Amino acid sequence: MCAYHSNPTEPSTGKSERQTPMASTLTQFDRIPVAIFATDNDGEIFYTNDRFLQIVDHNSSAVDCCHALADLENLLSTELIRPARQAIEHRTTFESGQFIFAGAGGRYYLLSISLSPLMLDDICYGVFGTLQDFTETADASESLRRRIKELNTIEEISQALHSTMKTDDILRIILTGATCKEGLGFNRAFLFLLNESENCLEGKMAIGPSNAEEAGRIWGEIPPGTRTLSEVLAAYLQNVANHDIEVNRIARSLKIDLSAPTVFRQVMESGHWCNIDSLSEAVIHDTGVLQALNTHRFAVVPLLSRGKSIGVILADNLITGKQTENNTVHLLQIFADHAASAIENARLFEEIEVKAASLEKANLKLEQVQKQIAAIEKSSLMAEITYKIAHELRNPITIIGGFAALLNRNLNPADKLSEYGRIIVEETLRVEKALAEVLNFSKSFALDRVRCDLWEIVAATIDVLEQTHSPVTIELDPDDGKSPLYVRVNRDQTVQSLHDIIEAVGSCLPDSTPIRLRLGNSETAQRIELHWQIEPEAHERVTSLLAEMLDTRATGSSLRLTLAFETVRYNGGEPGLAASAAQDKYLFIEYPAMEE
Amino acid sequence: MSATIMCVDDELNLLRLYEQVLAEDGFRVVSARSGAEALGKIHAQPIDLVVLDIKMDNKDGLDVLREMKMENPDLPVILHSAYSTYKSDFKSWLAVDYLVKSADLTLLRARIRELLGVDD
Repeated sequence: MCAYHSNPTEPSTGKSERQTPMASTLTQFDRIPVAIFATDNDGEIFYTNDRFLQIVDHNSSAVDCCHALADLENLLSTELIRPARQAIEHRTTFESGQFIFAGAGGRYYLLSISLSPLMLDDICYGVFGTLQDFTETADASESLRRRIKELNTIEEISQALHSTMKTDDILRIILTGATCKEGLGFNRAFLFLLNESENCLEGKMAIGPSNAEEAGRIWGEIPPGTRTLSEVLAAYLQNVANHDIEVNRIARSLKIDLSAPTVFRQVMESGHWCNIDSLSEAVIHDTGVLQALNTHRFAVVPLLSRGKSIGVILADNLITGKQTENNTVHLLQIFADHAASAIENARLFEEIEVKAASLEKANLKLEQVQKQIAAIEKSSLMAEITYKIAHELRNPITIIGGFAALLNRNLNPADKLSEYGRIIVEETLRVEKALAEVLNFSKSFALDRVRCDLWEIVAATIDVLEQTHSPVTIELDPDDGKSPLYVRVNRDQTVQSLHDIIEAVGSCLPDSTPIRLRLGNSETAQRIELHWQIEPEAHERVTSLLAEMLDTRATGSSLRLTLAFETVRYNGGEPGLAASAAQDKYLFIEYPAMEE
Repeated sequence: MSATIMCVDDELNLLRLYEQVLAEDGFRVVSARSGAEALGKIHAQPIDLVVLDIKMDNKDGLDVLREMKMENPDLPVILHSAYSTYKSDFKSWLAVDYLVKSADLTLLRARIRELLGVDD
């Protein structure tokens, strides 16, 4: 077997001289997409097809580029001669592993070569070789691998976004995903949101270093061993998010006017991303914001929600200066789409939270009102029943008392029956009095509470006292300016109860002792005070008399004070006894102040 | 001649009480248990004063009052009721007085004497 090397001293001979009987058979492979070549038993290449020439980047036949297997071995930098000999001698097929071949023009190929004995009728004519091109498959695999990584990244971001309803956390997740190496790997990312009322974009947040040192510090705080994007996001949110990094401060200070024709307005209006890659382009679009960010190569993507732009993300590689590929910007757009959706959901959630809190408050108030209504209805019904019963009882009481009095008049006073008659008359009158007091209490029970001025109520009460020729003397402390003291009460009930209280107090005091009425207020309550001036030793007696009045086992007049106090409480007030600075006792009635 | 007082009330025992008490005061008492009966009797004889209940079955006391006053505008009528609420009803203003029923008839008797000009 001759050498498999071409002899450069030998003049190249024409192809026809080297043609073997196989050559014509091999012509069927001329156009197939697999690179084919054939050598004779001496290692001389006598056949190549078009694909082979394409790969080795030559327009002519093998004789002009590779005369012998040795030439091919040199060209491909892959051992071929020994395997070819083995294939011929042992009638075996050799397959190489994949190797990279740098073709002319800088094109790289991923190839593998196989050598088989070229047999015909059991005669070996040489070696049949195929050059398999895996370049496209490898490219496709790489592309697929990258795509899978992108999808995984999107999936992780999406999951992270779904884990929170807080707008700030959502913004941090998006920007971290854009900047960490497990994500898109931008150096910096800035997020701007639309302020519709001012027609501008407001900087909300940014992530990324101002310089390489800060870059090391920021990402150095992520614990080692965190590999997935989810882990990085979690670690970032925990460790770094609280640091007020410089870019964040810059971002929050920025406002982009959308009335100016800038790249930001263009992106917002068109809904399409923009990849600015040159200074000149950046200068055209500069609004001063780019100066503040110190960047002229950046990508801007819109945040689109329901077909409308709600903001933009600006990302750049200021620190590394790495060029941003459109593919990466496209991925950033996918991030932004997720972000916009999450931001809108978070805003909606926050709105719902506020409304829910407001509804909760309203619900509590409604519950209170319902309870009050139920109480009023119950009281109203009771009042109605009481009212009817009281009136129905009046007739029989009139009859009983009347006949008892008649009987008494016709009896001898010394007669025991006369005493019985007198008792019947007295007790009948007592029942009648109690009925009258109950009727006074119940008749206005079901009426509404309205805003009333305590000054007006006091004036009305004094009128009633005068009209009924009450023996009680009233003095009213003047109020400077007489500012209204608003409360929410039933006016008639309040006048009635105040009237009854004044009468009750008056009945305990020595004759002609005036009662001084004083009105005042605190932050939360309005107050009527009843003061009287008596000898110190008489105070205790008056107090105990009032206390007795509240004892329902006492005489008929006690019902009046008890009912009056109950009326005050029913209207939300509280009566009580207090002592002044000079230790004089006085009675007060306090109502919750009503907001104006 | 003693004055004649008509008492109108659907409570029989109350009418008997009025008859006894007012008779003791020297008056002649004519009783009616309903508004219709009262209006019938008022035509039959001269009445000097009416003591009239309000809440009665069939005819309301205030309607009876109006009809009585249409017949005889000068007839004094005292409304005597278990209810105080009708005081605010303007139809009750036709009466010379409105008294709430009480076991103590002193006020009623005093008012009757005053209206009829009878000494105590």
